[in-house]
Amino acid sequence: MSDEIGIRAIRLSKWYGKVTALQDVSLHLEPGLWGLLGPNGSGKTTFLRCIAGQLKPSLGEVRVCGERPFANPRALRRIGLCPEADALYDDLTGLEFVTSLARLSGYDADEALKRAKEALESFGLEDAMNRKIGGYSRGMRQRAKLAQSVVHDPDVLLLDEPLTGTDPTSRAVILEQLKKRADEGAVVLFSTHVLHEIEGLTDQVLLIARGQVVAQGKVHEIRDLLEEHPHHVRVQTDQPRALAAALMAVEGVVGVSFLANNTVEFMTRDPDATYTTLANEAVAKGFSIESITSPDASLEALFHYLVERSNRGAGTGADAGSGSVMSPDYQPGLSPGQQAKSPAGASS
Amino acid sequence: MSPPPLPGFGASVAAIFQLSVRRILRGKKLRVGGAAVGMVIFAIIAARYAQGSDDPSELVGLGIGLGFFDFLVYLLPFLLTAGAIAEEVEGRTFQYLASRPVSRFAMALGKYLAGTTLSVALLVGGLLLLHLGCYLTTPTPMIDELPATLRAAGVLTMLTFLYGAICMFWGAVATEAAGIVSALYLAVMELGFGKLPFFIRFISLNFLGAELAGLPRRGLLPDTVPELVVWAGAAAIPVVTITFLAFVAMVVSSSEYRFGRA
Repeated sequence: MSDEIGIRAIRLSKWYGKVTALQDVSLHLEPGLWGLLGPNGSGKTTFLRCIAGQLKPSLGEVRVCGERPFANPRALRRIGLCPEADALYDDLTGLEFVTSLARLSGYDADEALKRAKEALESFGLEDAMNRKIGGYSRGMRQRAKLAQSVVHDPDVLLLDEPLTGTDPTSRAVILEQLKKRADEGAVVLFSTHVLHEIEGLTDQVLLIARGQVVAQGKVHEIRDLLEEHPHHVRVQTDQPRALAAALMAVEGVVGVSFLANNTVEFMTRDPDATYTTLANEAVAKGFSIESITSPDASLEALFHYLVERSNRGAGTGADAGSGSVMSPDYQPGLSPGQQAKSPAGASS
Repeated sequence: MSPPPLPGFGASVAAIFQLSVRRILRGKKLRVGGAAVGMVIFAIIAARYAQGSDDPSELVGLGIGLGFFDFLVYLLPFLLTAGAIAEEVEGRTFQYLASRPVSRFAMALGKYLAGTTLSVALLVGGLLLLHLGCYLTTPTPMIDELPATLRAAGVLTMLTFLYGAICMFWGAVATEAAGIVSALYLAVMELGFGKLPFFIRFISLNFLGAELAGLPRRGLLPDTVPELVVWAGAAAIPVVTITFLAFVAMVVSSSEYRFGRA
């Protein structure tokens, strides 16, 4: 048995027929709390299932604590999985559900019962553990799923959208437990497509898009990547050409294009100055502003940008700090607080 | 943190068995199966007392053949094992089991044993109840016919384990169509071939079982079917059962069961 605690993917690819779900993913995650970010359909769940030993890689390999996980009990006993689907044994009580799975983790009946109670209590289900799961609320179901995933104190905890459908109270309980597990030395990897869910929990994230890990590092550094490329600001006004002429004089505005419905789109490297000038010009010259939108203001836009960069083989360069954007050949070894390392022959 | 001990094969099977039995006992399928057994017993007992004969053994034998060998022995394992894996995969609960450190075969075996054990309990219990009900007013035949009833119970047990293995296999191979494929297989290969003339009937293990139980031959041109050495049937049923279980082991150990795609 390997004493190493961690997840390692080596040129991991997975496809379903002609659909590529994961493409050439290489990384190494050491103990700590990791957010796995990506838009819907980006490959997060496939990635987690490969790590959890439920899917076989089409190419490459994944190792959990030094073992290949697919149908491998030695690896599986060190993994806890909280799947995304809201699927549970509704005809069992919460306690029966978690106890049964604890027994399958290798504990005898007494130990399994004890651990199941502790796990359910840690997620605030002490009053509901003897009720059937079919009667649980969405948040309680989510917590029951989480309880079964930690009942055997796994070294690697994989959580697929664990905060879906939870209320603020449940969310606080869940986040506290995840932090505790990470502090105890586990690798906790949880996926989400909502950036702000991660920010209060960890600053270590993986960004995955179109099946590739396109960035790995700290949240604020990856967010700063948005500042590197021009922001797009769309303004719908009654005088688009006059507004464009006024704003082209602003430092940082690097382009302008006219769209349908009297809409003009600016590309600017200095959004604050652009917005200020826009407001001033509107007041001074009496422009009627119907709407102002920014198509860049979403995580999705960041992903697109990073994927495009990744496809071009470009990185953030030295100015990106420990945040890193990866080309497909990137094979980093990164743990919380460390900087991304580029092995010889790879670019970052 | 230290990882938990690896569960042994027997402990894994026992844990899955316990979980599966608990779920079956709380589900609708067992009630459907129980209702079917009850109706068959009621129909045979009603026919027996409507006939009013002092020696109802021939009628009871016919009832066991039609009700138990041609109907219940297919229905119960089908109900309780065909969906054992398929429904977990389709319902996405299989992920909980597949992420535990138990071998996939132990998982399948535990489910198989849970489904077949409860099927056998219903079948054998129902058969004994039928025996009591039919011979209630005739104590002598009740004693005389008991060995035949017990022999039928033994054969039904063997066939239940066989059909459970067949249903598990098709449930593991064709998770999205486990019920229909299992039902088709049993209807054609077992029930259908078991009623055909000549040696073709030997394809059906149900026919071999009925011979083993000493039931009268039925179906098309029964006189054209060659005589069978009894031990051949007794050996063929467990051999085929084990073969199907081996196939189950191969399928579940290598399948990803994608639970929908991400």
